[in-house]
Amino acid sequence: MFNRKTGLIIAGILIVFGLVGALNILIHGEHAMGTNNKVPWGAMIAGYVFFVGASAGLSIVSSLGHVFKIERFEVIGKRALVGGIATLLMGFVVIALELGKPFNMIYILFSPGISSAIFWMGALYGTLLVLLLAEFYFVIKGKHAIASTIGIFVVIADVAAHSNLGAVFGNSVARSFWNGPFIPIYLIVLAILLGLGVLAVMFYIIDKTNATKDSLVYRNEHIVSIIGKLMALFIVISFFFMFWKLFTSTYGAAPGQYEAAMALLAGPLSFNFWVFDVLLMMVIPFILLMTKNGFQPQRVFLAGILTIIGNLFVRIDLVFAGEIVEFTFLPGQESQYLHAFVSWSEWGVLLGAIGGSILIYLLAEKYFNLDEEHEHHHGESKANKPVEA
Amino acid sequence: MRQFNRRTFLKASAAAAVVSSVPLYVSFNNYKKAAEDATVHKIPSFCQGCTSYCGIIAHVKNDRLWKIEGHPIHLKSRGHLCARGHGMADYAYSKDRIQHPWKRGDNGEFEKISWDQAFKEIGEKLKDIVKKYSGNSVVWMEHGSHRKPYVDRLFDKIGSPNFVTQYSTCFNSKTNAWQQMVGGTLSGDHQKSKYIIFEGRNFAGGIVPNGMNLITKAKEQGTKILVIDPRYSEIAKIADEWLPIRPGTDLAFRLAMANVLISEGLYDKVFVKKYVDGFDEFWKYNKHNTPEWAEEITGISAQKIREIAREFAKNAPQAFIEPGWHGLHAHYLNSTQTAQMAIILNALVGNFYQRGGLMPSATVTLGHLELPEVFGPEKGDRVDGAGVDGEFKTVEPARGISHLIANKVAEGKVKAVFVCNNNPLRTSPSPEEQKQLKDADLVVSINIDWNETSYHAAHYILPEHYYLERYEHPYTVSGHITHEHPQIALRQPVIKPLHDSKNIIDILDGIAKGMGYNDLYPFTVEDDIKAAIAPLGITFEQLKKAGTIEFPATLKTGFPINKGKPALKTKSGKIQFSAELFKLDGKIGVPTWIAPKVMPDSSKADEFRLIHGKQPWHSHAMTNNNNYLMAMSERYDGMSMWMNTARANKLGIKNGDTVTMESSIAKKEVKVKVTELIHPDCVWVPSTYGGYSPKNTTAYNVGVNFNDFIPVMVEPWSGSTMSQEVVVKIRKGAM
Amino acid sequence: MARYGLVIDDSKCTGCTACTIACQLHNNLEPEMTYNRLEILETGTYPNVKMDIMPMQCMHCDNAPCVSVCPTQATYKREDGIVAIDYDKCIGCKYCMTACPYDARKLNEERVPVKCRWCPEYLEKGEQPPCAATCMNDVRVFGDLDDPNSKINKILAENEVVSLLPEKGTKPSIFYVKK
Repeated sequence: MFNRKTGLIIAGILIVFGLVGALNILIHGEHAMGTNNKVPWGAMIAGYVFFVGASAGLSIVSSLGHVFKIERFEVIGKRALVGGIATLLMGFVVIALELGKPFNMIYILFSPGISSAIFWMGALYGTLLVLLLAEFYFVIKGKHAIASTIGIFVVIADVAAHSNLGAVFGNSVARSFWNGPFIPIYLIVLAILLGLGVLAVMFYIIDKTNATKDSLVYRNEHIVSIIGKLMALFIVISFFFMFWKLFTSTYGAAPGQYEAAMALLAGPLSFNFWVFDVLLMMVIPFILLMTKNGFQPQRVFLAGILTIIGNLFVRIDLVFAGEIVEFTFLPGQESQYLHAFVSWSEWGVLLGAIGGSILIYLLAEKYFNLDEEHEHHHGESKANKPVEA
Repeated sequence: MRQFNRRTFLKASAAAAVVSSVPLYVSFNNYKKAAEDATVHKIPSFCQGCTSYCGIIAHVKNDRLWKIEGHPIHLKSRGHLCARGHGMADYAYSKDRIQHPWKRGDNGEFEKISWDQAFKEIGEKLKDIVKKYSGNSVVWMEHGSHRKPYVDRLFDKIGSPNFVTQYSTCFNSKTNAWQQMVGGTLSGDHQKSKYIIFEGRNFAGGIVPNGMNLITKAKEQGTKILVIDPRYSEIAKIADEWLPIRPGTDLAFRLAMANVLISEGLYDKVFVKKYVDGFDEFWKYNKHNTPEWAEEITGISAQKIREIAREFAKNAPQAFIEPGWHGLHAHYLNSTQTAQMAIILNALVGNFYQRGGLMPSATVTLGHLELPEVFGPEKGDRVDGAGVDGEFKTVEPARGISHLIANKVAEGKVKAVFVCNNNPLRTSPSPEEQKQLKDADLVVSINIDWNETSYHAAHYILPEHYYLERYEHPYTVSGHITHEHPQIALRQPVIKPLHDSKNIIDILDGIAKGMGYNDLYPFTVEDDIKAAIAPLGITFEQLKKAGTIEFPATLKTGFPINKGKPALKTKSGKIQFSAELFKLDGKIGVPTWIAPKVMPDSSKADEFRLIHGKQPWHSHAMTNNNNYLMAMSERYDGMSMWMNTARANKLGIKNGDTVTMESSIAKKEVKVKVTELIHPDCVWVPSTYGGYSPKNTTAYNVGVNFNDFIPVMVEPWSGSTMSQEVVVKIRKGAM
Repeated sequence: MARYGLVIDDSKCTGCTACTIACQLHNNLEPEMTYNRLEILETGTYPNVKMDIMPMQCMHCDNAPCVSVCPTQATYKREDGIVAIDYDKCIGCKYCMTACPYDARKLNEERVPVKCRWCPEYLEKGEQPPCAATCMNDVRVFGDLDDPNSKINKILAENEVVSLLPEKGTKPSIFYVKK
C-alpha cells in the first residue's frame, strides 16, 4: 500500500488540485474565495496558520531530541526538520496567494510598519526559514554542533513566530472573540498537537515503507506509540483551552464574544465545530488512543490523520468565528451572522499545499540521507522489524 | 462581476503614465495620477434624473463625463443633487443605449438601418396612413410636453390633435382640480411655514433637493411636520408625527378637517368671503362629514383629526397642506376630489399668496421664434377622448389619457404611434394591454435605451441625443417650491454624442422630409434658444456659461387683484370651491365623499390593497436600468414589497420570504420585507422595478411593478389610471 | 496645519443615498464599490415606530487600528488627521479590514482594501467633499477642528456629540450630533 510511487502519485494529484485553485484565484482574485468585505479572512489565512503551525509543531517536538536531548526523540530529528521546512514553504505559498499584492512585500523592508503583527510575522518567519535551511544544511553536512546550536534558535524563532501569528488575531480590538492573549497561546498548543499528528503519520509510513535504516523502536516502544501518548496529552490540553475559551465567552454573554461562541456551538459554524473541531480533532483520536491497545502504531496513525483534519478545521472555524458576527452601530440593532465559506479554489490550494509538502519531503528523502548518524545505536536492532511484503 | 467602464476613459492616459507597473493591473496610484492630471471642463446644464430638472455642473475629463455637481444658483438644486441625478448622468455610458436607428424586420428581429432609410420608410408609411385614415389616427406619446412646439408643426401639417403626455399615470387629478378651481398651481413656502402637512406626498422620495433643504431648515427652526401616509415614507423620518391612514380614504380625512375648520369657526372668514366662490355649496354637501364619521373610514381618531385641524388653523396662514405631486393624484376613484380638498383646506385657512403658506413661482416671459405658419387639414376629436363631449369631457386635453392609446390601437382608431422619451409599456397599467401598441401600422420609439416600448412594440427605434449631448429650448425654473427670483436654465451638450443619435428637430425634420415636407423645420434649437432669451437682455453665450440665470425678484404676496377684483384665471376670479366643468350631467362641482372603487375584504387574511411609491434613489421605472442605482437597491433591499408584520404573521410570512401575489389580471412572485412601517391594509412596492426588456440588461427581470397588477381604468373626472384601486391576494411561497 | 473633522447630524438624514453615489462618481468607483453607507434600523411596533438612518464611512481615527496594523505603512495618518492609503505599498493582507471596528474598508478589484479618503482635494480648499456637498439635508459638515471660527466648531459647541464605539479606543474624527 505505501511506497514512494504511491506517495508521488498522491502528491501529484493534490498538486494538480492546488494549481487549478491557485490559477483561479490569480485570475479572479477575491471573487474566487469564500470571503467578503465583512469576513475578509477565510480559509487561506486559516490554511496558512495550519501549515506554519504544522511546521512549528514539528520543530518543537523534534527539539525534544536535538535541543532538549531526550534520546528517544532523536530519531525523528532530520525528518521532522525536513517536514518543518516543507510545511513552512507551503504555508508561504498559501499566504502569497491570499495576499492581494504579494510583490509589495518588499515594503516590509523599505517601509516597515513595526507596530504591525504582520510586519513581525514577516520578519520572524523570514528569519525562521533562513534558520531552518541553515540547520538543515549543517545537519546534512554532518556538522551537528552548529546544527544543534541553530536548532535552539529555530525553536525560539518558531515559538516567537507562531505565537506572534496568534497575536495577529489577538491584537484586534475590533474582533472581540479574537482579542486577548488566548489565540497566541492556543495556537502553540494546537501546533504541537498538529505536529504530533503529522509525525505520527510520517513515521508510521516511514516504518511501513522501510524508508529509514534507523530503528524506530526505543526500549521496546515504537516512536509512533510515544508520539501517540504525547498526542493524547495535547488533546487534553487543547480541550482544556477550547472549553474555557467557549465557557468564558458564553458565561454572562460577553458582547461580541458570546455571539461568536454561539456561532460555533449552535450557529452557522456548529456542524464544523462539533464534527471536525471536537469529534475529529479531539474526541475520536482520544478514544482511539485511550482504549485498549490504543498506542499501537496503527491506532496512533489513524488518530493522527483525524487530528490533522480536525486541526485544519479548527483554524478555519477560529478565523471565521472572529468575523462572523456582523457589527452593529445603532442602539437596539440586532447582529446577524454573516455568510462565509471555503470556496473550491481555496480547498484546491489547501490540498495542493498538502501535496506540495509531501513532494518536498519525498524529494528530500530521495536526495538526502535523512537517517541519524550517531555512533551509538540504541534499542533493538533493525532486524526485529517486520519486513514488509 | 468586473466592470471597468468608469476606468476606461482614463486608460489611455493612465497607460502612458504607467511604465513599470505590476503587469496584472494598472496601479491605482498611477491611474489616479493620470486622472488628476487631466484637465477638467465644467459645463452647466440641467438634470434629467426626474422632472425636477435640477441645475447641474458637469465635470468633463478627456471628453468623458466624470461627475456632476448641483448647480449653486439653480433653485431646485442650490448645489445639492439626489442620487438619481448622479446615476442618470453616468447612464450616458450605458451599454444598453440605442446606438443607431433600428428597424424590426419581418422575423421580428431588429436590424441596423441608416437614418436615411429610417426617415424614408417612416415618412412614406406615415404619409400612407394619413392619406388612408387621416391625421386623427396619428399619436405622439411623450413624457411631458417639452417637444410639443416642434411636434405641433408636423401634427398641424397632417392634422393630428393627438399629442399625449404620460400625466394620466402621474398627476392629472391634481392639475385638473387646480386648473378648474384656482386657474393654476401654487407651491408651498416650506421655509417660512410653521406647520406643514405632507399627506400622500413624500418630499424625501420625489425630491427637489433645495426643497428638502428648506424643509430641514424649517424643521430646525421649529416648524412642525405631520406626515399622513399608509407607509412610513422617507419624509416621515424627519416628521414630528406619522399618521398611517387607511389607503384610499384621504378624502374622508380632508373632508373631516374642513368640517372642523368650518363648524368650529376656525377658518379665515374674511379670506373666504373675499376670495372664495362656492363656500356655501361646499358646506351644504359636507356638513355631515364629521371627524367621527371619518374615524370609521380612515382609521384616524376623531380627536386626532380635530387636533390637526385646530393646529393647522392656529398656525395659519404660515401653515399648509402640501399640494403634492404624483401621490394621491392618479391613485383612486376619488383622487380629483382629494386634490380639490387640498385646495379647499388651504383656502379655508387663507394661506393663498401668503409667505409660509402657498405661493406662486416667479417667472419670466420668453420670446418666440418667428416661423412660417403651417397649414394642414382640420383636426378632429382627440382619439383618447380627453376633453371630448360624450367621452372624457372633464379631462384636460393638453395632457391626454396616455394609458388608453394601446386600446385605441386595438380598436383600429390609432394607426401610427410615436413614443418619445416615454415608456408606456412599463409605466402604464396592464402591460399585456399596452403591448397592443405594436399592432399599429407604424410604431416609432424615440428613446435613449432599449426600454420595454422599444423592445416589445417599436417597428423603428430612433435614438435621440442623451440629455447631456443636446441643446433644448430654455426652461423657466418652477414647481414644487417657492422662490422670489425668476430663473431660466439651459440644457446644453456637455459631451459629444457617443452614438449615431440626433436632436429631436432633426428627427422630426427627417420624418417630415420623408413625407415630402421639405421646409417644416427651417430652424435649429440654437435659433429657438436665441429667440426665447431675446426679450430677457441676456446673450446665448452668457446663458451657456452660466447655465442658470437668475433675474430680479418679482414675487409678491397677496391675492392677485385686478381693478379691485380677485383676478385668478377662474370663472369668478376667486378660488372656486365648485369646479364648473365637473357639473356635467347633473353632477356637482364641489367635492364630497366618494368611496374608493375597491376595498380589500378585512375578513380575508390574504387580501391587501396594492400601493406603490417612489424610492429616493429611483425615478419610477425610468432609472431601473442604471447599474449604480440598481446596486443601491441591492444594497438596501430595495426590490422587496413591504408588508405589515401582524398581517405577515397571520399568513406565516417571514422577512425575505417569496410570496405569490395575484390580482384580476396577473399573478407574480415577489420578495417580502416584513415591517412595522406600513398600514396593515396594504402592501407597498416601489414603482421602479419589473423591467421586462431583455436588452435593458440591468433592469431585466428584477422585481415586480404595480402596473403588472392593475387593469386599464380611467378616473372619470381627470382621466388618471386609479393605480391603487386594486386588491391583491397574497400567499406564502412561490407560484 | 489644519486638523480635519466631520460632524454628522443623522437625525436629518432621509436615506436618499446621494452621498454614496456622489462619492462613487467623484472617486471613479464601480457600482458595487462604496466608500460610505447608511446603517438603517426600524424600531417600535405599528403605528408607534421610528426609523434611524446613520451615514457611516471611515472615521479617520486619531488612534486608527488600521494604521497600526499595516505591515508596510501603506495606511498612514497624515498630519491633517486624514488616514490615507498608499496603494503601491499595500500588500493586500486585509489586516486593516479585520482591524477596523467600523466596517469602513472594502476590497477593490486590485485587491487593495480601500475606504473613504475624506477627499483632501476639497478640504484643503476649504470646500465640502462630494458626499457633504450633494446632501440636500446638510447632514454632513466637514471642517478644520483647529480653526475656532469654522462651522464645524460652531456645531460642536452648540450640540452634544458622540463618537461611535468609544470603548474601542480609536478616537474617531467623526462626531455624531446626539438628538
